[in-house]
Amino acid sequence: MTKETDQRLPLDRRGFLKGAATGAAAMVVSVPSADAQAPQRAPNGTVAAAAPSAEQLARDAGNVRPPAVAGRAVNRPGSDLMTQVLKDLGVEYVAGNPGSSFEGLQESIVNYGDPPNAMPEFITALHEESSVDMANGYGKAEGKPMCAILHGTIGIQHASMAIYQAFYSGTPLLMLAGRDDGFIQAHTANDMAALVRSYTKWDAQPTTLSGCLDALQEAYRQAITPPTGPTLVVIDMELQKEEAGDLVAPAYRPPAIAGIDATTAREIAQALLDAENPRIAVGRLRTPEGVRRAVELAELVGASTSTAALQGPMSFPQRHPLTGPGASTAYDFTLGLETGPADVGIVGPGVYTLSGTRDAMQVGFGGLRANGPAGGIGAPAAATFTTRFDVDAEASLPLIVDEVQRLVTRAERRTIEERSARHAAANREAYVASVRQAVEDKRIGWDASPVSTARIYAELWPLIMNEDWCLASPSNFSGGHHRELWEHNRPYSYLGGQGAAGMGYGAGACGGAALAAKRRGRFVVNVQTDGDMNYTPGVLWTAAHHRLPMLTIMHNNRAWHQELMFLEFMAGIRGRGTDRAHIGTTLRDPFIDYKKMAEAYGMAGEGPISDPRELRAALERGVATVKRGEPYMIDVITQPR
Amino acid sequence: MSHRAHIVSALLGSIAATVALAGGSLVAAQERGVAGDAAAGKQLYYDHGCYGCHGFNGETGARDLVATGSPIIADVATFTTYLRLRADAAPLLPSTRMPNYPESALGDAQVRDIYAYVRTFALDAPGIEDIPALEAILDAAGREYVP
Repeated sequence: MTKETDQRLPLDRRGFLKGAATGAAAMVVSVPSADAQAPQRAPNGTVAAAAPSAEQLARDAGNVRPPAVAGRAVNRPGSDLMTQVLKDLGVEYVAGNPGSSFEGLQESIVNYGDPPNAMPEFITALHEESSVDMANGYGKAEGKPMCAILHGTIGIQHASMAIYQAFYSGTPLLMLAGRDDGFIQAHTANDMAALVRSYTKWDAQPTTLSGCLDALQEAYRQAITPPTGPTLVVIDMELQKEEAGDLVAPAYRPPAIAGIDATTAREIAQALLDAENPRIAVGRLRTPEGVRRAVELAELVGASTSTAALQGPMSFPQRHPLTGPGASTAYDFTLGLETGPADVGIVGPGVYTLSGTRDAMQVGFGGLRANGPAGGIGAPAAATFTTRFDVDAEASLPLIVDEVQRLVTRAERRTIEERSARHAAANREAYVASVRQAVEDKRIGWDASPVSTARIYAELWPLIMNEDWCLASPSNFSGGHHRELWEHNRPYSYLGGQGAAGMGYGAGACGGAALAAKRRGRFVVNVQTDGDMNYTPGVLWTAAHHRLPMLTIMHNNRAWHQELMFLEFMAGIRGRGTDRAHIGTTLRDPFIDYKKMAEAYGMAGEGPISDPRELRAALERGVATVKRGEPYMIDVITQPR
Repeated sequence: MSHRAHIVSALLGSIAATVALAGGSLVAAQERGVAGDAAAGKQLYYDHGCYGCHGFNGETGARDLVATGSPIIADVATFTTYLRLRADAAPLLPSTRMPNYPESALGDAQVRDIYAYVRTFALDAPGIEDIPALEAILDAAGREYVP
């Protein structure tokens, strides 16, 4: 736990209010009475939070008149500086649904700067889970943090599921939580971050404005430093409102991320050059720059490579000529970059390494246990490496590249060129053969009604293959057909799974990826499972409101289908039959009309489509709409899987 | 011989007999097995969630039924034996393996109806040359990589 304990807060809330009270009479409205805030002692002796007073409820419901302010009490609010820090960090978006505990910061984001509400832009979410899911999707696509802003204890708890998934995914993102001690007590806690500390990487609750600015920068640094993950800064309302005076935002210092040393880099470079058939195994790197460096190294040494691009973001381009088994699988030296097996593996720390310090309550979240049965998430088995360096691969790549460039001889360059050409020919042949087999497989059920999931992916690919696209939805429940049919050549081509395999992630993550896409001329695809959609449908409104380039295709099998199969099996082995397994596992009676859902949220769409012959034209309309910068939904009634 | 071993033996014998009929006799064997009401079987196939793994048409899903050559659906006797087989196989973890269906849960007549419906499934997908999307995917597979 990292928590600032600076005690230099110059004034407490009421003292500040007195000092700033040019409109004192009006401001009294927002100050709760002492009686209303007195803790209530329960019969068993425990102290419970006080119920909100009538004044508090009136304020929360908006039934108060604005204060009659005779003059400005604060000319340079602290939240302006907080916003300036976010600008300096290059944060593009802050997603949130409004909350009184961060109204100061929200006001600064939408009004401070020239132009206001830009870098960062406030994104209106309808649920805190969606806010963090959006930051998760953005972070996966870009390899850098987006912000989510949360309201007090209640906002943090709403967001907790999405935070959990982002932590499992190791996604860098920055969360801000407002804290308003003295207003509705149930919305406040002494240590608000404790609610989610087990699955955040770092948190702080600063007590001064200058400490808050430092904390924002440190939170950003921590988020992008391996092990990357979500971080949280709890910001008191007083710090947002206080006069900053002549305080300035501190200059940002990027983190120094440790890589291998120069000697090791030289040895690895030499081993790659000495090998007759070197191999580079590439897992998930941190940023697009890491991917670029991995490509540079593979091309310099003519190594065939493996890729994790079909499982998630930030890996080697799938159709790069060196991607594949190559002309020969008799590799005599393999370098592993965040993956194995390899003779030498460079593997940075995963979030599982934090479980001992962050899981203070010792919940022992299964996949995050360092000594769990799987060795912790992201923890490759030690046996898969002859030699392993526990440092960041991306930070190590520039040194290795430099050493290769320095060491390579003219004769070696010729050998490398010839080897690369052999690999390219073999990999191309293998790829075409794999696609030929895949289309033969996907042909089965082509005319089936409801529509086969394979047909959705197959019909869509020719329409987007020449676009700059991003498949941001998990595909594990829709067949994963893109892996066999599509080409994943960008760091953001496929953003992978939910993280902790929890529902409610897809739409939000796609919304975040679409935020990234909007500024970069990309096209986001969301093959959206119906069960998942119903957790956070409000994302549809956010997508419509912010004109996000997102094509949502409902994989509408009218069930939480995996659970239906599980229950069928359980009933079956107990000899009770499977004819009631649909109870609690299906979405029937009535069927949900997703086109109407989209319309209700202001998004254009069509469906339901169960005749596969109608699919192609619908997809064409959807692609055309999204290319114009508007989201679109197509409700497709699908085969179960 | 235990009850379970007896069932396994019966199943293997039935499968062996079916396989022996492969070739010119297969059609006759199939026709012999289809004695149920396919229309009733369609409703049972839905009500009992068979579509969950096998797809509504038997062509999709985790365990498609057409063009697999599975001897389990070669005749109704083998099919019935397979459904009844694993009554005591309690799973330790959730599984998508085939549930078993004791007679108390799915009577023989119902099994015959479902079997009759399953045997209506046919592989009727068009050829790749008649599917523009798949043709386009094949064409694109050979194109050069552009960074």
